[in-house]
Formats: sequence, structure tokens, C-alpha cells
Amino acid sequence: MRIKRIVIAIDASPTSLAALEATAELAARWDAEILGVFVEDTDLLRMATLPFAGEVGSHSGSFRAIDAKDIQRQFHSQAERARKAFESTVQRLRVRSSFEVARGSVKEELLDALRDADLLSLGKGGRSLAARLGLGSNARAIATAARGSVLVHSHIRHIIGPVAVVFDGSDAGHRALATGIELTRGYGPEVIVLCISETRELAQELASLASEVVAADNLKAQCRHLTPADAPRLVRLARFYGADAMVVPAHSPILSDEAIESVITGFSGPVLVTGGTEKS
Amino acid sequence: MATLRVEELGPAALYRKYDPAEFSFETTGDLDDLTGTIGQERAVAAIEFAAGIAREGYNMFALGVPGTGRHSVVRQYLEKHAAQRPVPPDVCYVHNFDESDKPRLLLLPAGSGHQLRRDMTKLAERVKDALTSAFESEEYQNRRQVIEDEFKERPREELQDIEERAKEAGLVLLRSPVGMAFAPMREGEVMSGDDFRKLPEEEQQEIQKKVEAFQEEAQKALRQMPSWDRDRHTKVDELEQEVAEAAVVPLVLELKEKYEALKDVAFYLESVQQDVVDRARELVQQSESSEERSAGAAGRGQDPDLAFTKYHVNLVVDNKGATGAPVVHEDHPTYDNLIGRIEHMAQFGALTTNFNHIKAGSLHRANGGYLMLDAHKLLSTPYAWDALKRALESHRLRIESLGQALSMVSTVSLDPEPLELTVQVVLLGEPMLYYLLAQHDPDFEELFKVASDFDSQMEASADNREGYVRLLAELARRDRLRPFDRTAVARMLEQSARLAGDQEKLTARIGQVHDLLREADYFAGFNGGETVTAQHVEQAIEAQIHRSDRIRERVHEQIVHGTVMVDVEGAKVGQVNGLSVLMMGNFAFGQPSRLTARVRLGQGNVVDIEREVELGGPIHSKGVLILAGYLGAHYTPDRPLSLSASLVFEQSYGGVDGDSASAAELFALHSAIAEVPIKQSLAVTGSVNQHGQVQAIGGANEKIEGFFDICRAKGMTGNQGVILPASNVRHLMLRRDVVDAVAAGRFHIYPIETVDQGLELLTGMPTAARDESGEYPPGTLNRLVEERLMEFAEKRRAFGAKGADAEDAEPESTGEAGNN
Repeated sequence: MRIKRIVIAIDASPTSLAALEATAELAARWDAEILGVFVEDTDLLRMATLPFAGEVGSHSGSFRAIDAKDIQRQFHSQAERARKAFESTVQRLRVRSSFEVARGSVKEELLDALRDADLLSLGKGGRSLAARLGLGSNARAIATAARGSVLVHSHIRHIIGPVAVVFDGSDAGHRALATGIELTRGYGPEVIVLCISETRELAQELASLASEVVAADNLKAQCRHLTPADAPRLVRLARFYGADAMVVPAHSPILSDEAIESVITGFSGPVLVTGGTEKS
Repeated sequence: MATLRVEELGPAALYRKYDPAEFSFETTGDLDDLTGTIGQERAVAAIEFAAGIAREGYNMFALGVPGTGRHSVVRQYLEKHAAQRPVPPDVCYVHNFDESDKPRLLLLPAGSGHQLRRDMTKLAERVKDALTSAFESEEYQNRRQVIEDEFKERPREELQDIEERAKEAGLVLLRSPVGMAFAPMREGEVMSGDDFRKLPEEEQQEIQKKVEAFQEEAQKALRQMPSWDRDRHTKVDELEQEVAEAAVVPLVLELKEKYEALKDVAFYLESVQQDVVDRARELVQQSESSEERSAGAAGRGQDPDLAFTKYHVNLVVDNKGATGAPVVHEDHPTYDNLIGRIEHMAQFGALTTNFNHIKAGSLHRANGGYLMLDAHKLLSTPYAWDALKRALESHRLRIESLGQALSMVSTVSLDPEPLELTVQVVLLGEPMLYYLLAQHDPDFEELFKVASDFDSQMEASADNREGYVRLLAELARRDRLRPFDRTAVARMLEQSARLAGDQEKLTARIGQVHDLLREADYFAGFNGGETVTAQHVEQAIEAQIHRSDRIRERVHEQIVHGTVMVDVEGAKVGQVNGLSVLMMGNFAFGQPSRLTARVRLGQGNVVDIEREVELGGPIHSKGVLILAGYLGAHYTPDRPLSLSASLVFEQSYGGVDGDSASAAELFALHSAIAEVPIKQSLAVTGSVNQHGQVQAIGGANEKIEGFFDICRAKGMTGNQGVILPASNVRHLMLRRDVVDAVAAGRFHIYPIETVDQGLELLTGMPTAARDESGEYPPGTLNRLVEERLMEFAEKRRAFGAKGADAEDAEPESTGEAGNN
């Protein structure tokens, strides 16, 4: 797969800034264009028009009444900070870029922005976009809808270690493996392939298949097979091999939404959920 | 008329000769070293006393002129006493875990400090490794992950639960930039304010209630988060302590068992263990980050393991291997060198310090023993004397910078625990310093109760002579000089007597004798001799004089050429040759000066011209005033002394002091009054009292030699000589050529006891005492003087009768009479 255009949703939160840095680095690596999107959430704007509108502070837990103007002001200031951070990063890394502020439903706006893109990059944790979108199902939904991939970032700014790929032999699995190879190329000799399947025999077949694919790119595959595939084990294995990032196929018949969500929350590094044509 | 007989001195009286035959050895190579000291019994007794008594305030001041061997004698006796005293403990500074700016003091048996320092350095390294591997272990990582996961899930689950229940209640949880909000949903969208208001009142209220209820729930959940976070911290801390304890306790236990007998160390080790356990995580993190920095830091001379150096031991005084109490000589007694200092290290532009940078002072090192200091250096170093006194008075040695001690800086620094001080201080200095301190510093007597007074000379007794010879042998051997044969030793003793200025003494200023030994050895080597002989010693002495006598040569040259007028033959009225001594550093030489006196009618005052122009010192003036007393009482006891006399050192342009010219001045006065000429072939030295007795003076040898040199240069007539006080005869150690001239009858030295003896020698006239009728016999000098003085008295009386008011008019009439 070739990633030419990356969309990054930024909101000036620390995780989204870390995601920005890592994404811009990837864009520079792949010579891709990067589009920064700040979404003014219409749901919030609508909520603010309610007579009893108010918000509970995420840190203090205290309640305060708000109106639409407050929300507007918050959006404006956030968008400005996001734009500055975006511009300074892309200029430093010399990446082709554009930045836009959209208003609407976050999910729809991102889907819209992702229409012509190959990868959506999100921050993880707290009130990050990933959290707001619902981690597993929505990331998967976006990936499906946009035929692209979703990269959910942690606080880690640079991907320099090995990449662990979850491989199930499906088309999405193959895309995941290709992305893993792409991420590894030029940075290390080895791809960690975590093969998942219903049976042990099948998993072993997958391992040899993955080795062949990886070897074709002059890299080595470190294969482990898991039957059955449960998310905590996947994360533990990735951690054991010192992986900096994980690549997970969105449409695996074996991995549930919950499992994908569990991988995203459990793994401390960035997780890339690869999309692809959904099998009927 | 009988004259007063004055026996001219024979050559034997002019020089104390040591006979080489009296020595039983051939050369100094046959002699053993001197054991103990010689000629300083008083000083040595004082040292023994002070070193033995070792009580508060019994510090010592060893006073004496330089070169008397104070330093080596004091050191020798202190070391003797120190060897019998116990070895003091090692002194260490360690980190104070309760108050980090007040490093703690650890006193350990000698040698243990060294051991503890090594053990603690090793322990710090082992603790670092143990903690790092404990915190990297899978056990710790997994247990920690479990705690983290548990507490990460809790708020998420809580909020997820709220979110789901809200959804069921037809609400949605929205996340805003600063928090979260709840809103009713309609047809998959958040309901707007307008739509809401279109709802029936009851429904509105119901929705609002539901929203408020969920808001409260969210508030409650969010407010719980800090306490969950606290719980998480507590659990993590407990885990870390447990892991750290398991890693560290066995390591410390090993040392605790080793140092079980030393309570302070055991207590210290306990606090080290506690600190490591409490700060385990921080230590691991610091050691990780210091490893990253270490390459750069090591290049800048910094310690890459700063976090662990706090468990090191700073051994400031190491008595390992010592056999007794210390004897320390501090030859640069600055404030810092005495009381110690706290050094700072530049780190990223700031100055930092810790207990590892505490440096001991000489008082620390000498504690439990003796500290020797040069008083002059101590007093000329700013604040060092005050610091020493403060430490001795308080018996505590507190290390503080000069800025702190003077309250001039108040930056945060270290305040190390003071050391209890039991040191005995020995100051070495010149007597003048001792007397000045005793007079001006009220604390001095309290703190320095013992004075060890070093004499500058000693009796030339048989015992002392033997000791002295062995000392010469020892010094020669120590400096690897050639052996000195008997003649050389005899000459050395003679020169020692000359330096002492007394035939019966030897100089205790060994420094000068030591120099002469080296120089004589040089000349022996120069002449190719195997041993040093008297001739080499003589050569060395002559060379010493020659090196220093440029000024003497110039002065004598001026006299010989007549620039400075001194007659050495013939006879003159009111003119006599006086003798003075000039000091040029260590070199002294005699210089004859012409002294003249003029008299006229007056009120009985003798004017000292030197005094009038402030070229004469007070002692000289005193000598001159005594003359008037003598004249009045001796010649005109029942009449006023009616002359006015003036005395002057001709061609003297520098200052004159001392009363050694008073005899010469008196002789000049007699000559001027009686108008009897004085022989210029004789020179005079000596002071007189009011009874006409001649008293001893200093520098007799130099004065005689000075006049002898002038006579020789201007031409010896055979009757030239020097008159000196008889009480000075024992001080004579004259140069060989002078002694030889006396032996050949070409030069004469007359010892006198009274003024009359001197007058007879100088004038050739008898003096005589008053006869039965109270008159001086006719034809005597005294008679002439008396008659002249009577004449003055008569004239003065006549003037008095003429004047209306004698009292007031007298000065003027005297002036007129003088001019006549």
C-alpha cells in the first residue's frame, strides 16, 4: 500500500500534539501530504443552546453553566492553538500540508476529510478524538468507510523500534502486514508478526506465509501464533518483543470491535488499524 | 705626682683561644650526633611542662631570635611526647539525612575511617546495581502494570457505565474541551434549545431532571478520581518500598554486622538504608539519566553518579598507620588552612557543594596532638589569629567560610557538625611578638600560658662545648659536608664566641653557625681539601665580611681621604675620637667619629647639638645630661655650674643613639674646659655615670677593629689604641690582625674603670683626688678644670651683681659674655 495523503484530527490536547509530531514524521518518511482538521462539534453547539446547558470539569469535577458563546470561544481558541502547532511542526519537517477548520459532526467531518486520504491519525486517551469517537467500532467504521487506515496515537512521539503486525491471512491482514513492512523499512531488520487463527495448524501456515511475504521485502519476520486470539495476549507479546507500534487489521473475522479497542487502550504505543475492501 | 695606673691589655685578654689539642677526636667524623639539646635548658623545661600538662589554656609560645633552633627543638620534644599519647580517631563527614545542610561528623578508631569509606563507596555501587535490576525485573514490572491497569480501568469503567445509562435514558454524554456535558437525543442527534422548548413543559422538566441527575453522578465520579489516584500512588509506593527493601537490606545488613561495635556507624547505616528505600525510584531514575549524561559529565570532571555520592564517606582526617598523636606544622596558616573549608563545584553555571567537598584544616589534622604555627605568619594572615582563638576558646572547630564568619554572605551553604577540639598549639615567634601580644591581646595570656624562652647564647662550659662540637658534627653530617678537623672546630667555637659577643659564651643562633659550616666546606672543596681546617673556616669568615663590607670600605675610605675628618695622631683641645657601630643587616662595623666640645659662660647646661636638631636619640641625650651632673658635683659642689657647653658628633648626618659616647664626650668637655689637648692617637668608647664610673657598652669588637683599620690605613705610629670600659674586656674576641698588632706593641687597648683613668691616658696629665683640705693638688687636670669652672662662677656672679634683675636678665648677659 502507498500512503500519499494523511488526515490528522487535532484539537491541541497533549496527546493530539504528540500524534501530530509522529504523524508528520511518518508523512515526511513516506513523502505524503498531510491535512490538519479541527472539527467544531455541532453536537456541543446544539447542547449549549439548551436552557440547562452546563459542563462538568474533567479534572475538578465541578459543574458550570455554559451557553453557545462559551463553546464558540473555546472552539476558536483551540483551533488557533491547533493551527499554530500544526504549522510549526510541518514547517520544521518540511511536509506538504494544509489545515482546515470544519463544523459538523466529528465523525462525519472526519469521514469527509478522509474521503481522499489513505490514513487518519488520532490522539488517544482522555477527551481525545479517539475517545470521543468510541475507540474500536468507530475507528473500524472510519477505516471501512474511507478505505483507509486509522492510526491511534499515544504519547509516544517517534516510532523507531520494531513494529508488531496482527496477521490473520485476510485481505485486511495482508494490508496490515504491508503497512508493517512499510513502517519498518529503513528502521530495522525485523517485523514482528502475531498470527491469529481458529486452529493451531492454520496459524502455523499463516506464519510461514507471513515469513515469505516479509522476506520478499528483504526483511526478517519474527512470527508467533496465537489460538485463540485475545487482545491482552496480543498486547503482552508486542510488549515482550519491545514493539514501538502495532498494526491491526480492521476487518478481521477473528478480532471483534472490543478486541481492537482493547488493543488500542492496552498498548502503550501507537496502534494502526488498517482498512480495506470489506469482504461480503 | 702619681698617675692612676692603667694596665694595657695583653693579647691573651683580647681573644679566647680554643686549643685544638683539648679535643679527643681527629675530625667531626669521629663524633656521634648530639642527643637532646644544649644550652636551652629553660626553654626545654617549658616545652616538657606544656607538652606534659596538656590542659586547657596551656598552649605554648616558643620565643627566641631566629636561628636558635626553636623549630627543631620544639618539634623534637613534641614528637617525643606525642609518641606516648594515643592515636586520635579518624574524622569523617557523612550526609545528614534529616538536615541535608548539616553534614554529620563520624569519629572512628584510627584506620576504620579508611575502611568505612571503601565499604560505603562499594555499597553505593552495589545498591545502584541492585535497585536497577530490581526495578527492571519482570516481577516488579508486572506487579506495577497490574496496579496501573487496575486504576486506569476504574474511572473509564465508571464513566462508561454513566455513558451507557445516559444512553438508555435518551441522553448522550458529550466531551467538551474542558469537560463533559449531557444532552437529550432526538432522532440520533443532539436536541437543540429550540426543539427542547417546543416540548411539553412536563417533558422538559423530566429531561432536565435526568440531565441534572447524570451531571451529579459524573461530578461524583470525577471527584473520586484524585482519591483513586492517591490510592494508586500509595500502592505503587508500597510496592517500590517492598522491592527496594528486598534488594537493599541484605547489602546494608552485611555492613551493619561488620560495624556492630561502632554505635554511630550503626545508626548512620540505618539512616542510609531508610533513605535508599524511601528514594528508591528516584535513585533509579537519577542513575538512568546520569548514565545518559555521563559521557559529557565525565569530560567536565563531574561525578556521573551524583545521586549515589550522598552515601559516600568523606574521610577528612585519616590516621591510618599513625603510631601516636600527630605533630602538625602548618607553614601557611591562612584562615582556610587552619579551620578547613567547604569547596564548591561549578555545575551548569551555578556553584554547588555537598559534604563530600568539606576539606580539613590543620586544626583537624592536629586534633588530639600538637599544632606548630609561625606566629608572624599567623598574625599577618587576615582573620587567622581570631579564628584560632575562637576555636581554642570554644574547644569546637566549626568550618565556615570567611564570608559567613564575618556575616558578610548569607547564601545557603553547609554547616558541618563541629569537631570537639583537644589540640595544643605551639606558636613560634620573636620575643617582640610575644611581648606585644601579652600586652595588647587580653586573650593571649589565657590561651598561651606557657612561654618557652630560647636564649640566643649559652655558657661555654665544658659540657656545652662538648655538646656544641657534637652538634657541629651532626649538622656537617646531615648536610653531607666534609669532616671538620680539630683546628676547624676550635675556630668554629671561637667564631661562635665572637657571634655571642662574649669570650665565655657560645652563640645559640645555630643558623649562623650552620651557614658558616657550609661555607667553610665550600672553601675546603674549592681548595681541594679532604677535611675542613681552620684555614677554610677563616676563609669563609673573611668571605662573609667581604661580601657585606662595601659600605664599610666606603666610610673608611672617606676618613682616610680626609673627607670625613678623623685625626689619629697629634693632640687637640676639645676634640676626641669617639667610636660608633653601624649595622648593615647582619653585618656590623665600627666607625670612628670626631667628637668636639666648646664651652663658655652660662647656666650650667650642656647642649647636645644632636638632640637639638633631632638627630640624637633619647638614650644619647640621657648620657649627655649625666655629664652636667658629673661636672657640677665633681668640681663645683658649692657653686652653680656656670658654663654653657655644646657637644657635637662632627660630620654626622644620620641619627645617633646610645650612650656609648658619653665617656668620650666627657673627656672632650674636660679638655675644652681645662684647655688641655687630647691625644688623637686614642679612641674612646664607654658610658659614664654621675659618679665618674665608666660602664660597659655594646659592639666593643667592631669599634676597636674600626679604629684599628683607620689607623692602619692612615699610618700606624705605634702609640695608637682604644680606651674601653674594663667591664667590656670579657666581650673581646678581636680579629687576628688586631691581636697580632697588640702583641707586637703597635696597638694598645686600655681598660678603664673611672673617668680619671681615661683623662690621664688621653691628656698625659695626672688627675688626682682632692687632698685633706678638699683641694685638687696643683698641676693636676682636675685642678685646672676646677679653677676654670670657679672662674666661670665668679664671672657669672659679677654679671648677676651688675644686672638689676638677675633672674630675668641672665640669659641675655650670658649671651654677651659668651660672645666676648
